[in-house]
Amino acid sequence: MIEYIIAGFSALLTFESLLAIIIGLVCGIVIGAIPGLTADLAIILCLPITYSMDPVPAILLCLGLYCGGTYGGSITAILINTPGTPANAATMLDGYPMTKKGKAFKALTMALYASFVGGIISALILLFAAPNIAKITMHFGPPEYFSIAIFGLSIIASISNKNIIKGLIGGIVGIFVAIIGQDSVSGVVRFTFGSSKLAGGIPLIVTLVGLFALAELISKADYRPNEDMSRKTKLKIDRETVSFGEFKRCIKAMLVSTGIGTIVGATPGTGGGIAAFISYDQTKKMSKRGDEFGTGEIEGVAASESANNATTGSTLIPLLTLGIPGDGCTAILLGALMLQGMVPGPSLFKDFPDTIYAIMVGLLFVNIFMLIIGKLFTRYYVNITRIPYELMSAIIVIYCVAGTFSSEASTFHVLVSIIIGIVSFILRKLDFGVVPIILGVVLGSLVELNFRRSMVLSNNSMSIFISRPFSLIFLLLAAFSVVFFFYKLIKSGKKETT
Amino acid sequence: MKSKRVLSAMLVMTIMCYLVSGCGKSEQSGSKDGTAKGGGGNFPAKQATIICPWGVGGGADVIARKIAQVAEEHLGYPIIVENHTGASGTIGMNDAAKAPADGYTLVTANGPLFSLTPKFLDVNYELSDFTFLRGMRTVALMIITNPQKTDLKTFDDVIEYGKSEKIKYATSSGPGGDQYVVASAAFKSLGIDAEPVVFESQAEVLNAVVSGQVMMGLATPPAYYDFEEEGTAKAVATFYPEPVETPFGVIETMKNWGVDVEFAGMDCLAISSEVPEDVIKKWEEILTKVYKDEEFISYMEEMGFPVWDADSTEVQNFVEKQMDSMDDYVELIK
Amino acid sequence: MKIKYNSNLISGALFLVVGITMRLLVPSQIKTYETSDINAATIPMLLLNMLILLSIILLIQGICDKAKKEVILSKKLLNKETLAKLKPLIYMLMLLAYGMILPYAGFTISSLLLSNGILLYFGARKWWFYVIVSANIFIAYYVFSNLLNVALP
Repeated sequence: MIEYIIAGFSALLTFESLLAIIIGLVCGIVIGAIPGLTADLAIILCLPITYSMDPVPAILLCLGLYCGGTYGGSITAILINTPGTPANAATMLDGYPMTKKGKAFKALTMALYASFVGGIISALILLFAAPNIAKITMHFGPPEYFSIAIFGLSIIASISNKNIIKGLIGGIVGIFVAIIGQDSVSGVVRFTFGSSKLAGGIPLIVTLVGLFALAELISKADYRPNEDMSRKTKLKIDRETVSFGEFKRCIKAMLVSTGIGTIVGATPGTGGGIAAFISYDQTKKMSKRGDEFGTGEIEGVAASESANNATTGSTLIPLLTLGIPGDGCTAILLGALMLQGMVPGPSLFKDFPDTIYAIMVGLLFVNIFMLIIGKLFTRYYVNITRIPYELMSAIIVIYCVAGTFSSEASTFHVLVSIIIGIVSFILRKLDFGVVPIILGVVLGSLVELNFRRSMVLSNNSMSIFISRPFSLIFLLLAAFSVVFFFYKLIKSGKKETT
Repeated sequence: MKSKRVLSAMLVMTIMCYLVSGCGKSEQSGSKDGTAKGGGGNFPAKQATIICPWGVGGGADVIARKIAQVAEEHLGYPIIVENHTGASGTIGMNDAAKAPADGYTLVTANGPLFSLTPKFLDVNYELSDFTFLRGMRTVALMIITNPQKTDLKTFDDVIEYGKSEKIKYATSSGPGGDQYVVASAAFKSLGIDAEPVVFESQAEVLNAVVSGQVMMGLATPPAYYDFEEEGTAKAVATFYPEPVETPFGVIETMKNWGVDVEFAGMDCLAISSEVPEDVIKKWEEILTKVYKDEEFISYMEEMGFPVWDADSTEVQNFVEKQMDSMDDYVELIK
Repeated sequence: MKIKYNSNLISGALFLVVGITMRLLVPSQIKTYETSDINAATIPMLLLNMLILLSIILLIQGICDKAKKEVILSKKLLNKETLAKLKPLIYMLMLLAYGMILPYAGFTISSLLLSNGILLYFGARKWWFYVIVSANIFIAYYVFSNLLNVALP
C-alpha cells in the first residue's frame, strides 16, 4: 500500500494537478458562498472541461470544487444568515449570531479550521481505511438507512426548543415537500396537481433558496437604511481571531463531529447537511456550554463545519469501492470517473491503483490548500458585512434566481422557489423554525423509501428494524436523543419553579 | 430633491431596459435569419445540446458525453450534454419535444420511453414527434443471484425456490418501469409470486445482492462482472432475445424455461421530426464519423458497452416491436 | 371589534385546514397501481393524520395560553406604524411579480426591474448602487450563458 501512496504522490506532484486543485478550490469557494449555486452545479458545468484532461487533475478539479464548495457555503451562512449550500445550514445557527456580536472574523476563522480538521481527517480515513469501512457499510441496507434517517429527524426535538409541536409540524411540512413528484418505488406521481413540471419533484436547491435565502431577504425587508446606526458610526469589525484556548475547547467538538461526519458521509443517500445537524446536536448535548448554543457559541460553528467537511472524504468510500455515490456531488463525480474510463467498484483499486491513490492523496492536498487559501482571503470577505444591506439584497436576488434557474433550466422552478420563500417567511413569523423543515426535506425520501423497502424485505414486519444490529444502534441513539431532550426540559422546568 | 433622484434612477433604468431589450431583439432576429435561410443551409452555426433524460454518470449519459466530445470536432461547435432528469425520463423527453426544431437539440432516448412510460404517466410527446438518428448501445437485462450466500445457483433453483417462497428481487425500476414489467410478466407466467425491492441505482441493487440482503436482483452487464469474478454474484438467466455471451459463460434466455417474455434494452439518439431533412443528414454523417473514431471505439470497448450502430429505420422498427410486446406484458400483469 | 390571537392559535388553525384539505386530496393526487398494504399513499396518509393531530394540539395550546395579542379592528389601524409593518408585503409582491414575468420578459429585463426596484424600495440614494446592481445582472448573464453554457431565459 505504501508503494501505491508513493506512486500516487509522484502522479500528483505535477503542475497540472496542483493547478487543478487551486482553481477548483477558488471556484468552489466562490460558488459555494453564493446562495443558489452549489458545488453540484459547479462540477456538472466543469464536466466537459475534464474530458480532455488526464484523470488525476480532472478528478482533483472536481474534488477542489466539492471541498471548496462545502467550506465556501459557510461564509454566507455566517455573514448573512443564508447558507451557501445545503451542507452549511447548521453553521448558520451559531455563525450568524457571532456575526451579530461583531465576531464574524472569529467565526469565519473557526469555520475554516474546523473545515480543515474535518476534511483532512476524513481524507486520511479514506486513504487508510476505505476498504474496511466499505466492508461495514456494504451491509447497510434499507433498515439501516431508515434508522439513520430517523436518528437525523430526532434532532427536531432538541432543535425546536420553543415548541416541539411546531417543530414536528415543520418536519412534516418538509417531508411533504420531498414527497411531491414521482415516487421512485411505485413510479406514480404524488401531489403534482396535474403539473408535469412538478413530476420531477422540487430540487433541493430550489427549496433551499426559497427556505433560506429568499425568506431571509423578505424578513429583512423592514430594514431601514436611514435608521441603521451602525452605518453612521462606521462599524468596526473585530479582528480578533480564534484564540488557542478557544481552539482547544473546540477540539473535542471537532473530533466527535468528524467521526459523525465520516460515518454519515459513508452512508449513501445522506450528505453534509444531515451530518452537520447531527453533530451540532450531539456537541450541544456534550458541551458544558450546551445552553449557549444558538446564541453565537463557537463550538457550534466548529461542530457543524467539521462534520460537513468530514463527509467530503467519506462519501468517496462507497463511491470508489462500490460505485454508490454518498450524496449529490459524488453522483456527478461518478460520471466524471466513468468518462475517464474508470468504472467505480471492486476492480477500481486493482485496475487503476496509481490514479486512485493519487486522487486520495490529492484530497489531503486539497484540504491543505483550502486552509491556506481560506486563511489568505478571510480578511477580505469578512468585509461583505460592510456592504450596505439594500445593495446586498438586490444582488443576492439575482444570483438566487440564476442559480435556481440553472439547476433545472426552468422558470417554473424560480416561481416555486419564490413561493417557498414566501411560505417560509410566513412560517417564520408564526414562530416556526426553519431547521425542522430542512431536516424533513433532506431526510423525507430517505425515510419513506427505506421504510417501504424494509417492509417488502420483512413481509411488513417492523421487527426488521430492531433485529439488525446497526439499525438497532441508530434507533437507540434516536431514542436517547429524544429522551435526553425531555429530561432536560423537565429539569429546566423544575429549576424555574423552585 | 428626492424626487429628482428617483426620477434620474428611473431614467437610468429605462435606458438600460431599452438597451437590453434592443440587444435581445437583435440576437433573436439573428437566429431567426439563421433558421429561415433554407433549413439546414448554414447548419451548423452554433453550439448544439444533447438532452439526457437521466442523471449524470448513467450509461446513456456517459456515452452521450463521449459522443458529444468526439462529435464536437466534426460539428465545429461545442456540444453540451444537459441532464433534464425526473419522472422516469419524461421530463427530458417533453423538453426535447418542445425544443425549437432547428436541429440544435438532440435527445438520448430508449425503448420504454415510448413503449411503457406513457402507459403510466402523462406525457406530452409521442413516437412520431421524434426521428431516430442512431442506436447507441444494447443492454441485456440479467437475473443475478448470489451463489455464495444463497443456494440459488441456476435459474432452475430460482424457480424451485419460488414455488415455496415469495421471491423478492432488487431492481432499479419499480412499477411502471421496464425491469419491473418484464420481471413481473416472467414470474407471473411461471406462476411464481414475486415482489420488487426498488433501489435508486444499479450499484445499489448489486450491493444488496452481493451483501445478501436480497435473494436476487436485476442488473445489466458489465456492472456485475467484478462481483461474478469474486463469486458473490452470478447471472442465471437473461431477458435478452438471444443467449448472451459473457466472460463467465453463455447466459440462456427466458425461452429456455418456456417463458415467452423478452426484453432488450437500448439507448439511442433522436431528434425532433420537424427538423429539416438535410440537417438530419448532416447529423447522420457526423455520427457515422464518430462511430468510426478510434477513440470512441476503444472507449466503448474499455467500458464494456456494446455499440449498437443501428440506423434510423432499424431503431424505429425496434421501438415499434417493443411497443407491441410491452402491451402484452402489461396486460399479463394487470 | 376585538380580536385576540397568538401564533399557536393561528398556526394550529392554518395547519388544521391544510391537513384536512390535503387528506381529502390524497385519493386524487396519489393514484397508485400497487396492491401491497404499504404503497405510495401510506406514508403521506400517516403524515397527514399526524399533522391534523398536531395542529389540534397546537390549537388547544393556543386557546389555553393566556398570552394573547389583542387587536382592535378600527380605523386607527390605518396609521403609519401599522402600514410600515406591512412593507415586507411589497417586497413579497415584487418577488412574485418577478416570478410571473420571468418567462415572458427574460432574465435581464425582469432582473433589472426587480433589483433596481429593491433599491428603490429601500430608498437607496446613491446612484452608483443602481449601476453596481445592474452591472451585476449583466455579469451574471454573461458568466452563465457564455462561460457556463447555461442559457438563461
